[in-house]
Amino acid sequence: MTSTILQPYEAALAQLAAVDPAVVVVTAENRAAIRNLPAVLGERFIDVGVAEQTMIGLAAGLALRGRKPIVHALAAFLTMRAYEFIRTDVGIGRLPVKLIGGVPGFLSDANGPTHQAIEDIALMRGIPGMKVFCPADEADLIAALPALLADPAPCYVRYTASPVVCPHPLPGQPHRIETVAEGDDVAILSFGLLIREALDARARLAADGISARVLSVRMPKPLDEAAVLAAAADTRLVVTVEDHLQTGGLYSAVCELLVRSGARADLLPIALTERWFKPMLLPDLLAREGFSGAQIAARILERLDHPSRHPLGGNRVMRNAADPVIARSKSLWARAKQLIPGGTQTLAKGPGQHVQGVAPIYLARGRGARVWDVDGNEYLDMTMAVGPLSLGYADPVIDEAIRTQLGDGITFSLMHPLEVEVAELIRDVVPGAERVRFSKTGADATSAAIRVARAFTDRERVVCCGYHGWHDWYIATTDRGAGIPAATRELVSTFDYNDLDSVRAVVDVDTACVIFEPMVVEPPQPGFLEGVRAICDQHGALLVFDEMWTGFRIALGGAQQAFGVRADLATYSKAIANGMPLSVLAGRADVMQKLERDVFFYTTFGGEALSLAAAAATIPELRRRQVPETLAARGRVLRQGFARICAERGIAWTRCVGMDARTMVAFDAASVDPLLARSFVQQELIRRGVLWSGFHNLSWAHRDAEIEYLVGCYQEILPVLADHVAAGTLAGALRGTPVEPVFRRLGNPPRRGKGAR
Amino acid sequence: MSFTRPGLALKVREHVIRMTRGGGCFLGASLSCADLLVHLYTKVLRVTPEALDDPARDFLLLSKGHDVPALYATLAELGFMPTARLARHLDPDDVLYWHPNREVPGVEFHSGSLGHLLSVGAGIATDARLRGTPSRVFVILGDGECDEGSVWEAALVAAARGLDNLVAIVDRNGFQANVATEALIPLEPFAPKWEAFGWRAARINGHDFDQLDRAFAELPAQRGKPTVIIADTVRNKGLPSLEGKPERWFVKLSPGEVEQLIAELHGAAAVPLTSSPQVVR
Repeated sequence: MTSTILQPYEAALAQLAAVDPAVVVVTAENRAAIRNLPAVLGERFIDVGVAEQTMIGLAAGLALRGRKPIVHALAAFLTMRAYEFIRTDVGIGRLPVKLIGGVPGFLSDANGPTHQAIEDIALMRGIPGMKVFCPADEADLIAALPALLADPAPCYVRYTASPVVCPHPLPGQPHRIETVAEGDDVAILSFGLLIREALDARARLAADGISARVLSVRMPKPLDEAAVLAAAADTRLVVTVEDHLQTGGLYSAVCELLVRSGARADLLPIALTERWFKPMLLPDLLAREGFSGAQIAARILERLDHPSRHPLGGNRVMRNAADPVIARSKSLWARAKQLIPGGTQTLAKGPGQHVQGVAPIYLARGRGARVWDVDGNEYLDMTMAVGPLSLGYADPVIDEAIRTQLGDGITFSLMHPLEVEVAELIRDVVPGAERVRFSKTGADATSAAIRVARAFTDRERVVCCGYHGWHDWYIATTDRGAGIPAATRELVSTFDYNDLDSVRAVVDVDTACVIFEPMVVEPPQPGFLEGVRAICDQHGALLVFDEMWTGFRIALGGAQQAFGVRADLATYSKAIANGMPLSVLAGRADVMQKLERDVFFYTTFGGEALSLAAAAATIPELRRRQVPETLAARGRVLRQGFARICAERGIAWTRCVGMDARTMVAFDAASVDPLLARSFVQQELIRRGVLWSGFHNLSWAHRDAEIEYLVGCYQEILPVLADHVAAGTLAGALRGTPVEPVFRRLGNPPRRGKGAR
Repeated sequence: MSFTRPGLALKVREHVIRMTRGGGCFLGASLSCADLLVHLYTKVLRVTPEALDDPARDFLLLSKGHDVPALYATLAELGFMPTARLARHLDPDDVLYWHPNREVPGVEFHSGSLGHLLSVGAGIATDARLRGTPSRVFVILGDGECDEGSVWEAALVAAARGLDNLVAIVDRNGFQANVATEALIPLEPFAPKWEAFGWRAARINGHDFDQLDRAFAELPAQRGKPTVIIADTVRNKGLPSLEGKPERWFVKLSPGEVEQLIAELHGAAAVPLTSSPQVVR
């Protein structure tokens, strides 16, 4: 007697049949998957010949008597020839018959349209009580068998004998969607053999900086709704990929759910539409029908209108062989120099902060954390427009909010409701924001704060520390203060951050307010912020926080929330509107009362609605996506990576410092020329497709992979820099003009007598 | 309970005629198989209301489901449900509608879509064989139903699998809906068709209890083969004024006409019906 060698699926069925006498296997002469079972099951293996209808009727009769029939037939004939029997006998009878369809969808290879089951899911989904299971591979199928058999519901199964195509975090739970790969930009929902292609597409998208989640939707019915809704909420594009007609399959099921639940999602169906597919062997089939991983990825890029769809032949985010070609940048710059004094509207963006001759000068577009210069070179952007892009370039949620508002108008003849709505949002998020006003740029807000403080205290002197914008009162304290009357200059004193003595030295009873950034690079030493608060209180001066960098970034409520110290007034901009120009002055009701009449703070564009619409969308998104926490976590990884490299190489003259969400690379001037070192790192990063000017201005779009890439770049660059520093060859290693200092702070003016006006 | 088969059949027919009131019912086919059902349930089937859970019992499947009024009436008369419940035919709060369903006590499976229950019966017969129980499965087919390919597909499979515990009974009343079978899709020679498919066939008068006794006396008629009994019957049997009338298949009558027909059933002279015939086909 020869022993029967069972294939894994057969062995699983045999084992189930051995413990449960109710299990019977029935087939309409479709034995491919079960050819060795007759020898094991004997009378409990029933082959009715090519008679699908009778097979179903017979299985129904068996089920009526308490059996658990597992029925095998080719999917096309099972679901279509016997459809009315399935619907009438099994469906109406609610009988526990498991319908196993062979060679479903693309698995029918070259058989031709007669054999193509590409409407099977739609048909089976339409039967009340019928479940539909589409395992990704044989392991998935086998693990699910006990649960399927224990379930009294009828179930249609798209059979597969595929080797493992993906991890199975939820074996034996076919009702659940399996997340087989994580991602946040795009969610690819698929099933069966196409999971492999979805994973391939995911890998390709990663090269373009797009992170794709891949979900194995094992049961299009009943759908694991929570997983689908989460995917719709977490990503900006939901893609369904199915070897099935677009009508009635996975795409339909997802649409039905989203519409019913009121969820909003951008959807891309990849399915067969109004046709049968051309019969071919499977590997050819996928590519010819547009279902290969590469084609799926291309469709997704196309839908996202990802700029990498339009390659201009420039450098990419990778170890490029040469510096980028920047001919168009240079040409534009030549024209700008003839017309635009200083060449830039934002000092930090200008050529003075970038290695001339190597760095691009003009950017054309951005998406997520990537930018493309006018010559078509792609970069991972670590500057992010100097801070406003808290979510990333072209964030779909914010852009949609802006587009929607654009359809109604940009700015109006009366106030717009958004002024009230955004003010309320800020009141609810920012500690102490009892009153709120808007303007367009950070300097507006800080200057308004100074004027309000002077009016409220009836004093003129102001004490400041960091950078607060281009207006007279502040920029007079620097060497770029030409054109400002000396009288203005004399009213402002500066102090050193984290040095309470330097604060005490300049604050007195003539001081209207102390304004400073609660954290720029160094964290506040314990007691420093509280100490400044106490000095202000002691002299009756107001405390103003300039929260351009900390606001909506270090915490949703900014530094006041993060450090627990309350200012009298606080100013915000940058992160609040993901790139749209909006600034905020908020604070104590009694102080802000001065704006009711005494202090004039009005401007044409103050209530401009596109920016308010952007803020109204950005603030909830910052909270929903946990942006402050996410930025801090990713920034910490970056900072620790930088520190590890320095430790391994014994480099002591550079550090990555600052709040985790926004760190900077600092160089110790005693050991190395900071401008030369920064220039060297910048030129090497530019060749690697990273746009960098010393800061890591993280956005939500900077993913783990990008942090990892940047750390990898430092791993290569810092040792070379160290060699140049040691050899004294750094200046000669630069391929362009090094960066320049921004400006210098002047010393404090001589004080006049106390109480003088 | 003591009764004679003709007496019980008369009661069944009376119930059926009453079900033509209101929404109506398939009178013609119900009356043609009333004697068959009465015979099966009183003399053949090992099934009682008290022993529906007995795994060794017999099963009757009504594949041509539209004659279910006769089944409802037979089951009620035999105690599967109260006869008073028959008055709730088509009551929205009950489940006695135009085709059988399992919620009615004694009904084994739903039908109505023709050509289904011979294969379901083959499944039940297969289960009995696997269990080793002496259960037999009787499937009542309509003659018009035999146009369905699935009947013959199941006939092939049952023969191939040697299901001699499966018995098909064809209510050969000569009509499908409102047309004679032989005028549309001739079935004759009918018994030889079944024999050619591997069945043991018998042909009898379906209203003659002696012939019914003989036909069902020994089952299986031949070991290893399923049996078919072709019972020649008369549409609307018991109502001479309607017997064999193609237009009186589905019938909807007024209360007065119902009483008229019941009188005719009990031997009174026929009074012509005034309500218009329901031509379904």
